Amino acid sequence: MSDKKLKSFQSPEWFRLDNAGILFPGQNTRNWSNLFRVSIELKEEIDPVILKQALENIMPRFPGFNVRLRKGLFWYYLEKNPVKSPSVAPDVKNPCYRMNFKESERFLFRVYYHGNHIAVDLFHAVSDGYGNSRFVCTLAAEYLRLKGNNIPCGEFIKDISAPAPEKELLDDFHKFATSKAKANITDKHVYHPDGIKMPKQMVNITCGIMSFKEVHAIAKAKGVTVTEFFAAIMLDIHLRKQLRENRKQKEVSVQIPVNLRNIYPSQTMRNFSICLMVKIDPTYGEYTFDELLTQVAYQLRLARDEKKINATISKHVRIEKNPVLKFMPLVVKNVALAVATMVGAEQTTTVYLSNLGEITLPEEMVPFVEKALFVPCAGMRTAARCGVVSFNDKLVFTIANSFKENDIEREFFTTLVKMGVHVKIQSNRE
Amino acid sequence: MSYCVNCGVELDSTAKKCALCDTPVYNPSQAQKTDEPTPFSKVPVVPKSIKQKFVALIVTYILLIPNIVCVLINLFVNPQNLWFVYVLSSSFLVWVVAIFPFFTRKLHPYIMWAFDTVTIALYVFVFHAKNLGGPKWYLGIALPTILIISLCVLVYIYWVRKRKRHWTSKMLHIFIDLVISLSVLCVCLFFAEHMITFDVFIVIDACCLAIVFFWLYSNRSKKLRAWLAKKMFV
Repeated sequence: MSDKKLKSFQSPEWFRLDNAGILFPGQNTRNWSNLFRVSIELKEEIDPVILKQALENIMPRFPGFNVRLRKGLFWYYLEKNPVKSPSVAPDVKNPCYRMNFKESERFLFRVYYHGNHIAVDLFHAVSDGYGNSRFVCTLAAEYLRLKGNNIPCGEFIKDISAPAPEKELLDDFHKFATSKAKANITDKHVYHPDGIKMPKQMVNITCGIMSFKEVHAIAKAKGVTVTEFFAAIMLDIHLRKQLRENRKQKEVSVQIPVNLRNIYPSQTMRNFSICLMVKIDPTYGEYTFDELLTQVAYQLRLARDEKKINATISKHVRIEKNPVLKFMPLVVKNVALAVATMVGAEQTTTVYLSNLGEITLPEEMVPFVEKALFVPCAGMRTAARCGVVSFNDKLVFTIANSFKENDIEREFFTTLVKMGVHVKIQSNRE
Repeated sequence: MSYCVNCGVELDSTAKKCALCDTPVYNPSQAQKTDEPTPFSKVPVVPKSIKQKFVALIVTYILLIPNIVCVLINLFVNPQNLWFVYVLSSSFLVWVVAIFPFFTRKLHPYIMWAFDTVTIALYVFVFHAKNLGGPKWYLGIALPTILIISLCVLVYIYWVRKRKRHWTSKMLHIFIDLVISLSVLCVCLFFAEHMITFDVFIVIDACCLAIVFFWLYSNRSKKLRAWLAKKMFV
């Protein structure tokens, strides 16, 4: 799609959902929504009145967040929300619970405070981890400014005095999808652990706080990145768990989202990431941890090939542009998507592992911030949906688990402890 | 700071037990800080679900409209042939089986099933008694079979709710129920001298009996159960 055509429909009054976001409203049910949380822990208790004021101040800078979801005849679309900002609420035990598009003044995100935390639960159709982390950091910076501190812009903090550039509102999937190759995006069904499900809307969150330098040193010694290191541990845990369950040995996979802004020159604040898959087939035999590390590193680096990624996003864009799908009424699309989600959601994913990377803030703001937290939504079939984020040498690994059992969390963090990493655990379990 | 003696991880100062292994925190030199805010809120949000009763009421009203229309048309256009009874009885059956449960606050499976049995018996009487042999057919074959199937289902519900059962035991129970129901049906058919249908049902009954023996054996043989679990997992 040409830039000229894009500009014509992306007026500030309404937006089309981006290529990744078109799926999420259709998948949204009374019991499950694709939300994720980014939160910032400051060193002082949060004042909700000032937080609300800070939210109102920053909203004009984020036109992509200042929206409500509406139904067209063929597609959903995002429309400018006439309300200034959503209300700020005390935090809840079960973050990322289902999103009702008519609640929260029809905003597609919720802002919470608890103790020293500021948290934003965002519906994935609006933006990805990149966008939400910038939003939360800007909110925290404005909060600190209103408290009388001098916090400059830069790094993750957006300048709220300037309007949002048009580049931040573009659907860059359309812009960069140029490949003519036919990508194969079908996968085998993989292993999912057994367990007792938590009651609907409930989720167990377990965070492990550790030193980034310690983890990085271990990963570097083994010749892999931190994400690859964590993915290998998760694969190892699930492969052994599947063996213990004494059932047909299926593939075990880790889904890792990749920020495409690191590959393409994009500044969009909307979704612009793609999920890569690392798979291990246990029928080949038992893998040692070092073998798993090698497999993960090779598979992930091969999958990060720009041409293959472009072929995949081009395929997704072609599906969106398919005339049959385009002109299919939204009601039919929703029914088809709901059935597809019910039957096939997460069938190809055993573990979801999203690494947001390091949050960098201006020097003046660093003394006020304790740590950051990234919580993905609970899975429908996957037991471990993990979020990683680090700030100022504090790496927080969060596991959102919709099962009552906590053996995966226990094995993961004790493995790190055995490797010599100091881990502090925080959880919403009672 | 407290550490878990099992996992070796540091625990939050507000934690009462380790989040990974549930080992209680006991640190004589540092008491648990109850005044500090916990890392996560303790207040869960359970979003309001759609009021089922309201939806059930709307569906009931929608279901009423065609029934009223049918009754009126029948009474005014062709009052000799009361075909509206068929429409009414079908709608009533659908309402009792699918919509009535939403009006109750708590599901009582035995009461629900008793209601369903009565409605099915009435439905079969209204719909088929006239065409398939009248009260003799109904009282001699249909009603005893319905009652015995219903009784089997009631026993099955009681048995399943009592405690968690292995799926092979459940299958055994289902096939025993089937054999009992089919046997009763066969006896009724024999005495009613429906010999052609009797032949068919006695063959089906014999097949079910053979399957009962298979599940009986699989329940007792650990090896076969393990093999079945491996081969037939979903």
